[in-house]
Amino acid sequence: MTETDGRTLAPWRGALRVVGAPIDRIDGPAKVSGRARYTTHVTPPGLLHAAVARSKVAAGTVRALDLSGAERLPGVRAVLAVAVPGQKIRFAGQDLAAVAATTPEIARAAVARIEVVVEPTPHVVTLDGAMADGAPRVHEDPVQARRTEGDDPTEVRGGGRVTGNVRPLPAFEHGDPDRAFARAAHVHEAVYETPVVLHSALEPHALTVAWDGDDAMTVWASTQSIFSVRDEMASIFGLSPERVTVICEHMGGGFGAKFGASAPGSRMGFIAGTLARKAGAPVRLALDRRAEQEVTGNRPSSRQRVRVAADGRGRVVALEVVSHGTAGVGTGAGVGRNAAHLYEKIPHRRVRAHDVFTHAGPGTAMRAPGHPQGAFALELALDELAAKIGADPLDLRIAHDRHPVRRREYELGRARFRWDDRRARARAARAAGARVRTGAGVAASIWGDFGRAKAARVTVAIERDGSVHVRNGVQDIGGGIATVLAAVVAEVLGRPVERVHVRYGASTLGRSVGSGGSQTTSSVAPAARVAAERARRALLEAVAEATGTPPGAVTLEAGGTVRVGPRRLSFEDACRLLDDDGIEAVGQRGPTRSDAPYPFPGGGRPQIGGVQFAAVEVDTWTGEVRCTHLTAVHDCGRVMNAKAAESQVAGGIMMGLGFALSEQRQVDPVHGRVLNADLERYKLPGFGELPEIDVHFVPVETDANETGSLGIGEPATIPTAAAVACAVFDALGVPVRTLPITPDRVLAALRDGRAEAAP
Amino acid sequence: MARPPRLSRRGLLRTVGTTTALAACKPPKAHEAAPPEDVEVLGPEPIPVTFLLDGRRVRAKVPVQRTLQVCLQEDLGCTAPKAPCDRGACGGCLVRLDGVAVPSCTMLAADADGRCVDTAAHPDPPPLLAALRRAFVAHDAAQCGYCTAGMITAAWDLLDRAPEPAALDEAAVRRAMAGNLCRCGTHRAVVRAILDVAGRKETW
Repeated sequence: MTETDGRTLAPWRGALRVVGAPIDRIDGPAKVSGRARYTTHVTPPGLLHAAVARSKVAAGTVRALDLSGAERLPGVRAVLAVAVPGQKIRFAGQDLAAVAATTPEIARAAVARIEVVVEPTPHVVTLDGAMADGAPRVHEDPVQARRTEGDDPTEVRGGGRVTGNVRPLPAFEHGDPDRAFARAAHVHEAVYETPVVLHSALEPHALTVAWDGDDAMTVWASTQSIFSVRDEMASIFGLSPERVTVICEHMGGGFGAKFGASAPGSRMGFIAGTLARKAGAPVRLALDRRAEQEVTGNRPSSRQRVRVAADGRGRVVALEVVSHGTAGVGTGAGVGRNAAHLYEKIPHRRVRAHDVFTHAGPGTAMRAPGHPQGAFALELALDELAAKIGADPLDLRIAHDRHPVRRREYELGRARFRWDDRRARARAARAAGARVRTGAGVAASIWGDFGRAKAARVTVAIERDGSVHVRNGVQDIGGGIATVLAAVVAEVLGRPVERVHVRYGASTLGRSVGSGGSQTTSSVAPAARVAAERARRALLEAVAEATGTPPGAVTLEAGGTVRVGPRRLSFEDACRLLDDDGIEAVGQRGPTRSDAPYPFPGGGRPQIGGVQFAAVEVDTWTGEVRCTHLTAVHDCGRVMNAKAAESQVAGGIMMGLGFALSEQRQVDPVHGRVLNADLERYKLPGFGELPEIDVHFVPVETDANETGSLGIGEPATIPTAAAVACAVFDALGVPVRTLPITPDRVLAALRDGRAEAAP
Repeated sequence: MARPPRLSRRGLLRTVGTTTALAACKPPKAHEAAPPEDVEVLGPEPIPVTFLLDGRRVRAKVPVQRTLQVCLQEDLGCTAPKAPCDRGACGGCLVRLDGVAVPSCTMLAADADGRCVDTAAHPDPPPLLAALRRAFVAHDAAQCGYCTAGMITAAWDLLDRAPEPAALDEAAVRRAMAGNLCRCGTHRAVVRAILDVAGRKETW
């Protein structure tokens, strides 16, 4: 079967029959009828409910724990001290103790009876406070960066020596920025800030653990990575990973916060597994919304000092970003690839980022870690420079970008968005001093294809009754991978999508990848194609043998008809010729074969582009900003399912609008607690914020893998907030350099702009 | 059949004190304020509730402070209403109570006694609900799907009571849906699905 080895499989060319069409999701009917089972819907017999006592103070030392009140409560079956006397508390919400009880109500009541004495020590929750001389130290010991499958795997690891609460991240430098700034004709310098924002998946973290004897367990988890849950549980409890079965039928969103058995700020796997062992019964630990917002990760903040310089001919010659951000007690406040690698024609570039530790819940990867923050500062600074030198922001970007697809995307977007018209109208409204201004902005995305070889084993089976089955242990986080697997196999075997049965969401169904880094489709879909090609070949060989036909004379036609010499058999009739076992073929993806059309920094893998154009309306009397139109032009190799790909982009845009206009975690500096750890004061974008969205894909035949598919989940949200901020600058003529762009900030920027008599 | 008195969450708290769930597990102390005359105290033992769920009579014995959402999920195995925010702010738990959409996470199960509770999981969906389900699939209005049942319940409520659904424009649909949150960003698809169904009343 060497012909169908991933390495030699001919790439797909041109339009296909099924793949790339708008396909209804196979899990759609279960979701719209409310029948889809999520983690908290699984109720093994004897299930107990866990609840966790969490620290109410942001910093201190645990002095004493008294669990007796909880132990005495009828219905409580197990109690666990998670913290021990002497332990440091570093953020409000930190695990202290946990209980398992027969009902969730009793579990909560029991937690309220747990007495923990924490001796408070001074805490610091703000960036300024943490960087000040004499600030309380958040970590006394060296810090180990926590990385997940949500992080960019090619990012340089490690960090410099921690000074106070500041930890430098690996620096990037290209050329000689200092010399270039010294010689430049025009220099723009300003500080840009983004807040901590929260993943806010609608389904809070949840997992249920059922022990099977002493050395095996089944875990139901709301996760972006079934196998990371398996491996972490195996490691915590000293089990063989083979003895840990993890199931995630459906999950209610992750966005980077749901890797591993534990949440970034709560040892959920340890707690649920230990309580279940103590109680001798399955235990479900489902976080409440407050804990979800406080301890399960966040997008770190950033304060970026950006310097950008142009020469006398309008060429951008130097760029420097020095950033400090806080991921609370965690790491990962870098600002992504944008400044370092997006505008490669800027000859001198430098990025220096720093983690600043504060007494707040840990940050973690959130949909394109670092990138939306980095894009915002870089793109708005570039527009401010463009205004100074009288350049058109779009022309300036095209002039400094080497990626051929992204350059094309800019041009396509220019026409679809009517860039020139919109910019002219904005100018006119500004000049007239109109109350309601309009503005147009553009920004770009840079991401890489992180699809991996041999990371997923996909099985395709053909039964004697003609049914086709696909199996893989991948979780579908809402991106629609299960439907993609059905489409790929349907394509190869000439079947309708609805005749391909996909089983997914369990570790028993074959190794798979985590859904992070926009790598799911390009890791798993190619393995499905390899498996399906093998199954197809095995089917034709079996038909040839059963009918005594030379193997070359049996072919599969589009539509699934099997041609045997002059005869034609329906797919079902052909399958009846199989023996009882039917056919089972396993496929794995080969290595990345090409970095065409343009390499990601470091080479060896394609770069994914994407540009977004935003139009806004700003009421200069009230400061209210509304994004009215968003044109998104993206590439992700070969689109697998036009419907789901478009939905991903529309969704990324909505998330970006929240980052641009409304979302920010508020921490009370006095008490160190999150003030808006809920869904009414933490402002997610909603139906009121929905702009007109125009999504366009530029098809690219990359040949990177057996399906040509690349990722789209993260690129879709990288440029949105940046484009909106640039549009607001266009509308007002003065920038708002702090996200979210709330009315007060707009009014302040207008006031300050008038004071400076901005051009 | 005698109806037990309705008990709102606020009423419960007023009655048994704000020490939350403790109250269920601890006999009231003599010095605590006596309940008002017109309120019959329920609990601390679990109480029976009976109501019509998606057209079928169901019974459950629930802790007094149990919300309808928890009762539906834990006692009755109904997976449609979720509790993303658990305080009535996101629409993920919407059910139709006697034909009106309400959040089931801020209402006591006891208050559903003797009433009609309809969810997106209706096993014999009325034609409108069936049309909405089809349209949500066709417009790809569910990604992770966690908000979807609440979205569909809100849309069902809107179109069922609108005298002239075809007259609803996009702005009206957006206003009506503003109480439903989604993090995957399905908003555009949801609006399209609802307008699609609203404009084709003959199909339902």
